[in-house]
Amino acid sequence: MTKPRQWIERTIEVGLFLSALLSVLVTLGIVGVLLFETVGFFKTVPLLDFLTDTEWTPLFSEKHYGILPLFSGTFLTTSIAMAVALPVGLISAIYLSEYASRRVRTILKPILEILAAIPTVVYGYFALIFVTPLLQKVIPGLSGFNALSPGIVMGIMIVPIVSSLSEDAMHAVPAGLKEGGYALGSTRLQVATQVVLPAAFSGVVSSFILGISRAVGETMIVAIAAGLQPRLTLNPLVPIETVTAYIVQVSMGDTPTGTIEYQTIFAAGMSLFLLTFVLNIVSYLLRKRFREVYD
Amino acid sequence: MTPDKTKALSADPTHAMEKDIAFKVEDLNVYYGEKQALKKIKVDIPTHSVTAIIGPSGCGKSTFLRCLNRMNELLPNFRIEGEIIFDGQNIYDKNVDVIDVRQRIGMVFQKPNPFPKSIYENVAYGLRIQGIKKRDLLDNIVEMSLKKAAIWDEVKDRLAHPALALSGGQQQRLCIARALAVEPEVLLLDEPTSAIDPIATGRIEELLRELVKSYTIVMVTHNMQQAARVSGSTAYFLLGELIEFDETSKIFTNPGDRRTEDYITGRFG
Repeated sequence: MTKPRQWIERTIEVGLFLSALLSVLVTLGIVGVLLFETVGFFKTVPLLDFLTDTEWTPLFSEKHYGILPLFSGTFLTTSIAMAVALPVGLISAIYLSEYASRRVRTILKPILEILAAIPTVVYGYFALIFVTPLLQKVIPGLSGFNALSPGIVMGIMIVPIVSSLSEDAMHAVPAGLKEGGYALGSTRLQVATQVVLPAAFSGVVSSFILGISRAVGETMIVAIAAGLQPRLTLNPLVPIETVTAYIVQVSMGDTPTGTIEYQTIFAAGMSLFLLTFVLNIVSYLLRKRFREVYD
Repeated sequence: MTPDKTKALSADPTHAMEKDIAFKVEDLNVYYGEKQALKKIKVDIPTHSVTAIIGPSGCGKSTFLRCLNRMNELLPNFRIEGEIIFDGQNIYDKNVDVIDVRQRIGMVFQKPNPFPKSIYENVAYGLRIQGIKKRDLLDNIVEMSLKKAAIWDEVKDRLAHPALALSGGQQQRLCIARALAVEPEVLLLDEPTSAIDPIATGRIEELLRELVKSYTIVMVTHNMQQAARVSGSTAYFLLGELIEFDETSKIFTNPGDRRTEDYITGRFG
């Protein structure tokens, strides 16, 4: 009687394990391919050139393989996005967690989270055909493709990531702590900024870092609206290219497999992977360092 | 104001023996939504004395205490009727600033709730939010407050350490120091020793006996021995009503109401 039941249990366990294993294997596969092609790339291009050359022109006849222009593009759009997402997201989180009534919160939070559900290609065209012309009225020197407009739009896309996760962290701060603040004669703003925010610090920082990772990896918006011109600059008004946008550009083209042009996208992808990997580790360490334990 | 003062000073000694009143509570009704939590409370709470509030769970003790510094307003659906006169003014009057009320009437909670900051910053918090930045002034008040709360000797060498690393009893004394730092006139304590061990409880009771010399103290307690040990007067609450309020010695030896007697003799509660 018990034999078949044991068999079923065993099959279920193995099935679940295989499902879990699948995602691990896929990750390992991706890293493996990245690594393999990246090694191939560095057989042709010295690492020093890759890191120090200030031009990125693998698709031209005179080839340069400096990753810096792509990184500066990513850095620029990410910085602009975070300059939008960080304050707006944090202020929304403070409002939702400390000021909004329960009713307002239950309505507002899901609406805010819808922002994250809009397809990024829509954001891309929104940046290109709506935000850029709008900005051009204020900033006459702004190119049709630039870092500013997709940066801002990307920031708007990231607001719900920052606000939602920060709000969760702030909401988890024990009511007793807030009462302690109020009982000493704090205003709501003082409780929010000097009691709740420090107590929720690790969660808030994690939300920032997740937002940064999202901005670094974002592809569609920058591919559409930032231009495809690698340029080592911190000027947000001119066309640039990010690491992700470059990968799209080459993947979409007719670059033959095994060529150096083909390998560039793996080198770029590997750099990107390392960058977000480091961000994840930083986030993990910060969480561990600043986590307050309440019982 | 001035004529009254002279009158008070020149009043005959027998009259001066009578305790001054810190809170004059008149016809206080409190509701949470539809539910009435306090019914027609009328009581005068004396200054420079420990007033204990006792009663079974859910009788409205904490609600009453939290009315005295307007902490209840933080709860949704809270509604209040009646008056609480403190220093000649109804603290629920529209012109009264709630921040001012809470600075003058400090509070310590059931569960120690130090902020996730250093010991020093916990005590300095109430001063910093008032805009006090001078380092030597802060240093002074922090030290004085920690001394008043009888925890200075234990923490003076580690003021920069996180407050959450202290023991429960130490945390509670730190919370008392934090409340004292803003120089309140009244200290409200909501079952301050229910979450800490007996030895730490003893230290806090000792501390209260010292503090009552300079502060008015109102304390909710579940522990009747504690009420008997530290308080001068006792209020017995039952089902949202104030059943009896009198000197503690009278309440515990010769209560005027049968229900009080039932409670203190342990027949229920």
